[in-house]
Amino acid sequence: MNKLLVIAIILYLFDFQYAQSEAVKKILSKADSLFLSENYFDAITEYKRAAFFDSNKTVCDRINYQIGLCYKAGGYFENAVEFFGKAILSSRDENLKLKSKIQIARCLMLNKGTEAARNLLINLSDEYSELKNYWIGWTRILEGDFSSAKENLKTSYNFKELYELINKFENEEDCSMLKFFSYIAPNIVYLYFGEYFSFLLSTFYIYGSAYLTFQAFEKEKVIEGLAIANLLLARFYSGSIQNNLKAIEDLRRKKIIQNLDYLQKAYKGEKP
Amino acid sequence: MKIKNLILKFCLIAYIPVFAQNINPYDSFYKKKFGAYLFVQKDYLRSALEFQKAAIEKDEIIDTISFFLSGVSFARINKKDEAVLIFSKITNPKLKDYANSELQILSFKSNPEKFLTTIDNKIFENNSQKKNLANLYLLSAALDFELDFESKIESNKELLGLAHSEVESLLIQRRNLKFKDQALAMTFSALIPGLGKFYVGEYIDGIISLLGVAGFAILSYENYLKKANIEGSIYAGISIILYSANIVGAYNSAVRYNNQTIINFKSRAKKIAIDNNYFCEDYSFLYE
Repeated sequence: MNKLLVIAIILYLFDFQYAQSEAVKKILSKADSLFLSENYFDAITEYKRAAFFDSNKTVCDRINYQIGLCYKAGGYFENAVEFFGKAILSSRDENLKLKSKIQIARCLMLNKGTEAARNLLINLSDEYSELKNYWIGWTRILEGDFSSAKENLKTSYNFKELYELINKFENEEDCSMLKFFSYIAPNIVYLYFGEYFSFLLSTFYIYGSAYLTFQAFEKEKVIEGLAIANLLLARFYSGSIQNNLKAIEDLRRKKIIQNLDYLQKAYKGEKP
Repeated sequence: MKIKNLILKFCLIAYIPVFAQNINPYDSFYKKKFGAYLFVQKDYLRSALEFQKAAIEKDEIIDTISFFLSGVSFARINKKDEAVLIFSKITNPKLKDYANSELQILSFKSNPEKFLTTIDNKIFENNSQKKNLANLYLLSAALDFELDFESKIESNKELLGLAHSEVESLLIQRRNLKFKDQALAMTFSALIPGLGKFYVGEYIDGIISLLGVAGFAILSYENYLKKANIEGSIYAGISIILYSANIVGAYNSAVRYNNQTIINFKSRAKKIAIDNNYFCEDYSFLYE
């Protein structure tokens, strides 16, 4: 009778495991269909339910990956990164690990963490150099550094379409002349941005303080000249330069956003 | 005997697949377990919904604990209306205490500084959650800089005995907070430019202020001596502007210093509250 009981318990345990794995399969199929219909909130609930029943952790890597995708699609990038990280830790499948790492990099890119994303991608094995270059290229694109992005994208013919679009942007993005003029004649650059009042004020302050400095040195009042040059001229000059550089950066950012908008619509390939 | 054994074997083996096929992940038992799993993961919205599904069947509450835990989950994500509605239907006195405590935590979270003013001292009488509430009360008393901190503590002195060690150290810090007097900082700067900044601890700014005001004053004096009246006036004007700015700057620095002291203190107090989960229960004894 005791033997029978032991056999029954063993059978029961095996069967319970089987029942659980069947339940997990059913839940996963429901979760997948919710995911495909873009009902991400319910999909996450079902994937988590599947994880709850998956006591042997047989599919937990796949579940974590899918939950990460749902959070990413919903714009919850920090949660997505957490679950892709769990997928990496729980998986023995190298392909899933690689996919999860790429997804983490893509989430970081979308969450203003392009540098962290690049560092993660750089550490990937050289075996995946094409994939690495493609996504590193994207980190550069999101930073508006199109010339570096081109360097990454020219490594493969597969990126030709994106490369050509970026090539077009780079020429539009060149603000180096404006920056150059900001240092040479900061007051003049105000005119480029249509800030006429700032132009007048800046001209008055810079030339006024330059005149006083010049006068002081001419009368051999060296200390006075240095004081005016440091406390007035240098201050107004550097203030104007800073204002201009800020305006140039804003202009550049505006152009980058326009270009990224265009890229979003025009480029058919995979995007972050 | 053999026949009896055979029948028993048959029953056992026949029963197992029947049981296996009957695992329904969506029945109340598993919903409650899954709700608890989500609760532990701090996925409170999903745990609230799952506990609710486990607790209610055909508009009737079939599991009070699951129902209560759904309220707690809502409270944890600041969904006050949902939590209040659920807690209002709780009749069990012990759970009622927990529910009130959760609502007090919600009130603390929404405005920790003014939590004290919303609380009635009667709440501490015969309350199983007295210790948790006492810590929130003390935190709030420490956070409200408009109230007389000492008198508030004095009026509920017995609560000090219930203070968590971190709250206790925070109260000591609160008593020893040092602020800078804005008027004194301004007076110092008026007497000697930059001295107000020194008083606040901004030494480099103090030296710059002193050099700026004194430098232009000397330049102005020298120009007047040389009868260069226009230049002398310009430098005198700059010196006066710098002198005035130095007084206003000393005032602003003192205000900034005091604000920063308060911000640092408040962030430490809030961190203590968050780290200790607002001194609330984890309710593991209800679902484990």
